[in-house]
Amino acid sequence: MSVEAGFYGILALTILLILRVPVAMALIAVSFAGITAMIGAGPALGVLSNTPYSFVASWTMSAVPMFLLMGFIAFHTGLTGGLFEAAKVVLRRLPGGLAISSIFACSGFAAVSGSSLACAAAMGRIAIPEMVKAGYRPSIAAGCIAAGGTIGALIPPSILMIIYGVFAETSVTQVFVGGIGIGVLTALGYCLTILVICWLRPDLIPARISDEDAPPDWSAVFQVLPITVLVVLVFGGLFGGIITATEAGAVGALGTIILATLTGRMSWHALSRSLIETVTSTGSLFIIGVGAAMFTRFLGISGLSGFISSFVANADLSYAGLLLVIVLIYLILGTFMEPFGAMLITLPIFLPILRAEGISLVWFGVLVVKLLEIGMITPPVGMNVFVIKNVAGKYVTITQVFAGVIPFILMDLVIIFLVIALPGLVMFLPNLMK
Amino acid sequence: MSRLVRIAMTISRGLALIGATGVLVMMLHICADVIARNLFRVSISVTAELVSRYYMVLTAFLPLAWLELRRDMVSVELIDFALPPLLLRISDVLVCLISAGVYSVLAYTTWGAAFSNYRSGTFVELVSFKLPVWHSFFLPPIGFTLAALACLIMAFDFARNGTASTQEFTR
Amino acid sequence: RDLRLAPAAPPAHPANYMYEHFKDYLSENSGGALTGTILGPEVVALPQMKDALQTGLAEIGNALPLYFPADMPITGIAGDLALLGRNPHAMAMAMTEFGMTCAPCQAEFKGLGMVFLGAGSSNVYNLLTTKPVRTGDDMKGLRLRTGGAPYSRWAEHFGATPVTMGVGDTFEAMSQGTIDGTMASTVDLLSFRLIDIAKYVTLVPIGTYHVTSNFTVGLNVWTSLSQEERIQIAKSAARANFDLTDRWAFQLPAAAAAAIKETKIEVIEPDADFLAATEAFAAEDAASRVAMSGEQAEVFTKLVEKWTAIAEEVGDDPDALAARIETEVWDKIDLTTYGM
Ligand code: NA
Ligand code: NA
Repeated sequence: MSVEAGFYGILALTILLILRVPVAMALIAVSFAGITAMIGAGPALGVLSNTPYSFVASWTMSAVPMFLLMGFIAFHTGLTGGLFEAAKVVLRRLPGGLAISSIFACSGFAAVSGSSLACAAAMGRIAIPEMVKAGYRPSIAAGCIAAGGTIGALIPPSILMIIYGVFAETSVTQVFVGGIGIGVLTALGYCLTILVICWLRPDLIPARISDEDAPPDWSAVFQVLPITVLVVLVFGGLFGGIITATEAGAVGALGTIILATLTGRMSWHALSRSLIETVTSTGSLFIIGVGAAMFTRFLGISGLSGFISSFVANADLSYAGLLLVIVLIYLILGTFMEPFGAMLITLPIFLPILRAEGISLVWFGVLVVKLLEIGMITPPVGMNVFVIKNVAGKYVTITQVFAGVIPFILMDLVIIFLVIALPGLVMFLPNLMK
Repeated sequence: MSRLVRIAMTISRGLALIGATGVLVMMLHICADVIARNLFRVSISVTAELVSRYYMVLTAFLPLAWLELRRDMVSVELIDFALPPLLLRISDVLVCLISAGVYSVLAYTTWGAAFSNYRSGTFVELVSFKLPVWHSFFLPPIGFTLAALACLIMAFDFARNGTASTQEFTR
Repeated sequence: RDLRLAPAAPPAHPANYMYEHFKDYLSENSGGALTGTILGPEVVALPQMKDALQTGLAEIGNALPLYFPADMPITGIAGDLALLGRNPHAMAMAMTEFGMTCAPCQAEFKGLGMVFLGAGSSNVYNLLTTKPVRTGDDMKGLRLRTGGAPYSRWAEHFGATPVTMGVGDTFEAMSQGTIDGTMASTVDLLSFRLIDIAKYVTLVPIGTYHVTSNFTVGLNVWTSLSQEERIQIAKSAARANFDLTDRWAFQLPAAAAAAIKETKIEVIEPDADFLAATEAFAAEDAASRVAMSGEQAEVFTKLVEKWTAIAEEVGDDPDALAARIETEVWDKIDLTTYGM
């Protein structure tokens, strides 16, 4: 309709964001102004009137506050602390042991959490203060957790994968199983990154934990028992066909409360803090989601998505060229868009092309989720970075966190290359299932 | 701090607490459904609708004003460090005014939607009965209206004092 | 004039197929004067259609009246009679005539700022399950997803428990065993990948989904058009309505049947008693609806009989059917006043 309007909208959004307007407000303002300019104030007001309710009033979306609650309770009652403590004991001899432990703890937490935000929030609270105390540069400590949090959406359960599966009309379970591969690959890649930083820049990450000479407290390893029970509960329920992924959040949250109570860690203070933080995080994320949904509608009306689609179709690309274009588009969209919005506007464009090319939609789903998760840590809109700022604001500024994730983004690019060059890395497990 | 500000903050905190209760009830309701289904093969057919139409809407919109007063809204702080205090203050006031404007438009248009749903008595058809859901359409405009007021209060605060006195109060 | 068209469906969906054809007919019938731009479901989704048409975001859109039950109780009566559905084209044409001629239905559309230009229909719903259903007794204790009250009543009649959930949640719920299956079109096997998890398809005829308003024109748009333009749009809609049914009830079910052959899914012909009991319940249900909802339910029931006879006579060719309904219904409509 007016592709230029789409481009101007993206430009206006970027300017508003730089001028410190909150992300949600900027998205809503640009969408409103853009739709008004293209087709009039009536339709624009209509979009503003029904998007908030229809975005939020969603059963699938309810997994978000539930998984957040589970993460916060696990944190405030010290259950996730156990993960980190145990990893620290086991990995104490490694250079950068604290950071590597936090990546392992993120992976463990990922198995009980469906969102990368919940994972970053939970781990950020425990691990960042400890890393800073141990002499880590705050920006790299925060960057490590912001990136590590993305594992939360890669290792199943994953809200993003559920929505992809429904949208791409492909098996959610298969995409989940594919997620295990990329999640583990990402975790290993991040550990390698930490080792390399340790080696090249000991001023950023001290090589050893400060108390390495103290005898290790092996009892810490047993602290992972409650969270292991939780993993078994949620995964068992999920793969045993007792609960759905949406229900898993609520069951997991209640399970966490019960476990914490049984192990004597529960308190009114922990419960009320968890609830308040769940509400705070949910509220600030959903209003951005509402803004992103409006912005998606604005871009759709502008016809920018159709323009890109025909551009790709007419370019007559090779397989590698096509994937390069797709990867670049997701990386660019990911810089400023929230993953659901980015996925919603792109899948209608890409899926027909992929089907025509005979590319596996399970593999592509895993790739897309990984690409969108990179967007969670790239500026100017990096949701994981914002969450880290939210939970560890006294140590770092937003800009410092963005600086701290750079090495991990570089590793992500290597992983993306590997996944495209060797699809078997992701498809190995799903193929076994068939 | 004026009495009006205190009242606004008490109200917004109260609404946030309702949101928190919503989260807890949502969890219990979903778990009750899972337990009832697996142990007694009985399903609470209203679960999905109550969760999405009420608990979710409650949790998402009622705490907005409180979030604004706490300055918990996510923004990009790329140029903060480069701004001298006076410009920062002006920018803070402008940002609050822009937010107040956006919330006002949202409030205006969602009040309209709420009354239109009230007039038609919007409901959801479930297996055995009709669940009225028009009430829940009033939650977004309530949240947006209070958020708009919160932003205005903060704009005054920034203009007069250079900081948001509301921020400490809500911690 | 370029019109914003909202099928509210992704590219692979029958509604999108229908809109692509509508766009072509429109520019053909108007000699290129009227064109359309299709908006994706990310711009206008089904629950937002009412607002989109009222505010002018969409100018012509695919509205499903059952999404707005509080606003359209009378039009919805046709949906409550879903168990009557045996011939998709007949149901689509009955719905088209019902929506265009029943005065309270017209009042409902007008009240919402919308103009009705015909309907389409799904194929006849069947059972897609993870447990075998051969007889009525096999239904006992099953938990089945329902897409509406009439299918629920049918399930409950045979002792199954209907479960309300979004159609997008069916896959997960079925694979998790939360439900044992769904009462749906076999097309759902492909469009929601149920083919990966369903083990049985029982060809018991449950009913159709036909309460659609395929080309709902915003009232403001409609009144702003010239008489000539209204005729061109109506003519295009009259033909494109059949593309929805042809796609949803014939082409895609054939594709689904072919896909089933490639899998281990067992296709079950229900036993005679089960079939007879289903037909008996459908008749009984229609009678009870007529008793409950009154005049308009009876009108719709009669229309189903009328169009079933015509559809059986004409066959399944969309062109022939379109020609027939034009003389039977459209030619009797006065487009200088219709819907206004
Ligand atoms: Na996860
Ligand atoms: Na980003």
